[in-house]
Amino acid sequence: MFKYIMRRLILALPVLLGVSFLSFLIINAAPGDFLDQFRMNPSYTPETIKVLEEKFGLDQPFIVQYGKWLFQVVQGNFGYSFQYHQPVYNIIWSRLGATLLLSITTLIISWAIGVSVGIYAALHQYKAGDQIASIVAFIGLSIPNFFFALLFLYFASKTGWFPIGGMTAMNHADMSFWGKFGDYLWHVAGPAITLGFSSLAGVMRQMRGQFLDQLGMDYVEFAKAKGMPEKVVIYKHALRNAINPLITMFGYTLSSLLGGAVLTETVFSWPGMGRLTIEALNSQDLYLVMASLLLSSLMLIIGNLSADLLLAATDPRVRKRFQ
Amino acid sequence: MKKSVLFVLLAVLFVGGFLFAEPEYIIEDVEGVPGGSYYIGALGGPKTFNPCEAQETSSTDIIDRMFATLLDYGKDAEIRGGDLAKSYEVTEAGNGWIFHMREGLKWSDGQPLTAEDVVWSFNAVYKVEGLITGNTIDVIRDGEGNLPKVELVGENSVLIEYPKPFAPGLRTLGAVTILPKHALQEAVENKTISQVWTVSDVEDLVGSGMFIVTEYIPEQRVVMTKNPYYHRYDKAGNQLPYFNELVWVITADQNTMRLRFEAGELDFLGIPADDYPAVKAQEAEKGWIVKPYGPTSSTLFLCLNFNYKDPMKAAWFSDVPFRQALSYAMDRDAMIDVIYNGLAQPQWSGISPASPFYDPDVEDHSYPFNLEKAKEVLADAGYSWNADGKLLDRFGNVVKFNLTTNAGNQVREKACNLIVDTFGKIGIEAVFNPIDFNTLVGHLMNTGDWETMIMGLTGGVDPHSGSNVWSLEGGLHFWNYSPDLKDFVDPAHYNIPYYEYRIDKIYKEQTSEMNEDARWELFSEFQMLVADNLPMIYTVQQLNLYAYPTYLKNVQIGGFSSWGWNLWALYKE
Repeated sequence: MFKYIMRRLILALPVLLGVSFLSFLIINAAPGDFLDQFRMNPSYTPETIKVLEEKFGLDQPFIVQYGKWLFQVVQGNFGYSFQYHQPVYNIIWSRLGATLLLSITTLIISWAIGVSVGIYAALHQYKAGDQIASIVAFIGLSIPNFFFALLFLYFASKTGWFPIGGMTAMNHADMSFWGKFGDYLWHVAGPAITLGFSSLAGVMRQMRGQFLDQLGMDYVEFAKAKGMPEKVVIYKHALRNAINPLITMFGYTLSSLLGGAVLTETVFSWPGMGRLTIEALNSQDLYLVMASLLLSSLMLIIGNLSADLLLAATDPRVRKRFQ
Repeated sequence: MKKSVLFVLLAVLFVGGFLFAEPEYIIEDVEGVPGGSYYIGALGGPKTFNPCEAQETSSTDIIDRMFATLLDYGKDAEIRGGDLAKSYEVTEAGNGWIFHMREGLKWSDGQPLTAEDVVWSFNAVYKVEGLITGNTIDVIRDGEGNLPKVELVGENSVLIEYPKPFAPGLRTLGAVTILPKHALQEAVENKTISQVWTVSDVEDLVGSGMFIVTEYIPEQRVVMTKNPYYHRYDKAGNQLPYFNELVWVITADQNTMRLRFEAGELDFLGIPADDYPAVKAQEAEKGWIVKPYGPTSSTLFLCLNFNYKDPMKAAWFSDVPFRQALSYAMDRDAMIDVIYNGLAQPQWSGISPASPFYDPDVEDHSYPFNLEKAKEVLADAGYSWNADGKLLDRFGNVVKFNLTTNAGNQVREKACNLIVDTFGKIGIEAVFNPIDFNTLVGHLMNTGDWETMIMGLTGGVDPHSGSNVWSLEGGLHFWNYSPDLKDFVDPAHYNIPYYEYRIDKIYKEQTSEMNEDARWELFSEFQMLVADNLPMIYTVQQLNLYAYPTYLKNVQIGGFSSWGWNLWALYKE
């Protein structure tokens, strides 16, 4: 098993290298650079722009810029952000907590509710509960996130039950430990419900569909026929088989843990990675964009790997192949 | 009772002045109640707290409160008097100024603030090429590109001098951020000045302004606390500002911003034109003051490439009657209604009406919407129309061109669509094709491959700030670049019309014109030349729209200064 993990991680290196090269190439091929905003500013002279080009290393050919960057990355330095004048690492680190808080609560909402409602719906196919669950899930799927977010905020401002965006209250610093904890939960509720509600439908429908497929299989018929208790048939055999594709799906979801959600973050003023990345892209803050892209690729690789490991844990056939 | 307290205070100040040479504070004629916090929204978080590096308003709005400058600017951006300097005088030769610093000034960490800091800021930081990202080095150059000589005079005065008299200098020099030498000297010597005072270094900040940043929670809020050494007092002897705290609540979305204002979480709101009627409707019920406050300083204009590679099109674009007809064919009232919900005004001058240099006579030199006149001007200039109603130039070519702007900018895209529509009514086919901002800049600066476009630039108070745009050799003279500056301009086709030549002359002359009235006259002539000949065809200008609760007192809002010029006087009742 350990060997397998190592092999996967080593194979990931060329993938990351390729991703970084392609991203760097595409960013460079896009017209303009970070200094364009200064070029259109009447108070900057062309001479000053030249000096700045040298200072930021933007006057050098693409391959030299990439080589220098790669050399730094190997040493653990992801470069400086043009906008923030500090190491990219610091900036991303400062957003990591908020991003994880939001994505993990979203994950819990969409998966915990999605899977259990999916199972319930499959077991009560075409009954009222199933229909209601489907309707609610599809409403969530079809309302655009930013609109749902605005509705939520409007609701929050009218009732005062939830804060109007942000991550902490003004007096957060004076709160006790549990007070702070509650404050975070109170603030994360809005964006997490918005994001969770929209991905709920996918998980739920997938779970329901897979489970129904398995329930219709011959082996379930057979197990029932030979007198195996209903509960064991459903939860030990059918459910275990039905959950496999969901685990693969879960792996992909893990990759978006650090990606952030731009629109929802913007409406809720949530200090996550999505807004950071989009701002960096807009102002062509090269190294910040690169770091964020690399982080996403890395999470995709880790997500995939953990999905495979989880599969091995639930499915003996997969486990067999590893050995 | 109050009077007697005041008397005692004055007496103490008076006697104190003899005994310890009391600091020379600025005494403002305002009344208010000290204390409380002021909550204001910001659309983005700061990128840095370093005044040498800050570029965009999300950072500079904060930094500007943290640093005082030599001179003090008022509601309409006029010079109110000295700030860090108590007075200033013009040198005998008339080519510079001597700033006399206030005695007893202190930085927010208690260290003395003297002329030494001023001299050091200029000589060791701003005048050094490539040291910082900010462009103070360009801002303080005179019309010929010379940097000023800055030196200590006497005990606590600074001489700033140019080789020749430089009229816009006082206003620019007076607004330069003075840096604390004791705090930044090491970083400057190590050339690491760009990397200090980032958004993670809040505890190191030292300033001279009303408020100092004391806490930053990334993308959530910036808390600024009253500077205990700030040098401004009210007449009752209260140290200003009245507020103890200025809190920037970062709210990336305009709708969320409005909800927060409505919930009372923010004390001030800049309103997008679309939302204005809805906010205004709640004015009485919620106890707000909601109104428009004069035009903003930004501009929106149509410009045409005089040097476009196709000589046929270049000939139309550089033709004055053609451009006059285009101006006649622009329905500015429709733009105001459609783009700004009626909350804007037509613009005719190259100088914003908020600037003291604006000459209202320019409105008599305008070409407002009138399709009949547009056709008349074109017919008189030798243009004609074919059977389909398409405009033909003097050689019988159908007039058809591309119109572009940066994609995603809704204001500009809407303006383009309206223009395309009304140009069609005089037989001109403009094809609207928006492109990405960076591509557009590339076309403007590097290839000259554009025909016509809607653009915007932000103007300064002193029109001198536009010299990079209006000088023939200017780096942003993009509609008619000099072939010396850009290779893509063919010297054989390059042509300087007389008005362009005269504008260039005016921009050179005004820098050494020390008489304010004569300088105003020069800029008046400039405005008439622009309005008559339309090298840029101005469109409309949005009005500043603000809302604030009635319990916020002493609010005074001007065009250029926006809401912040007298922040020290604001208080909550």
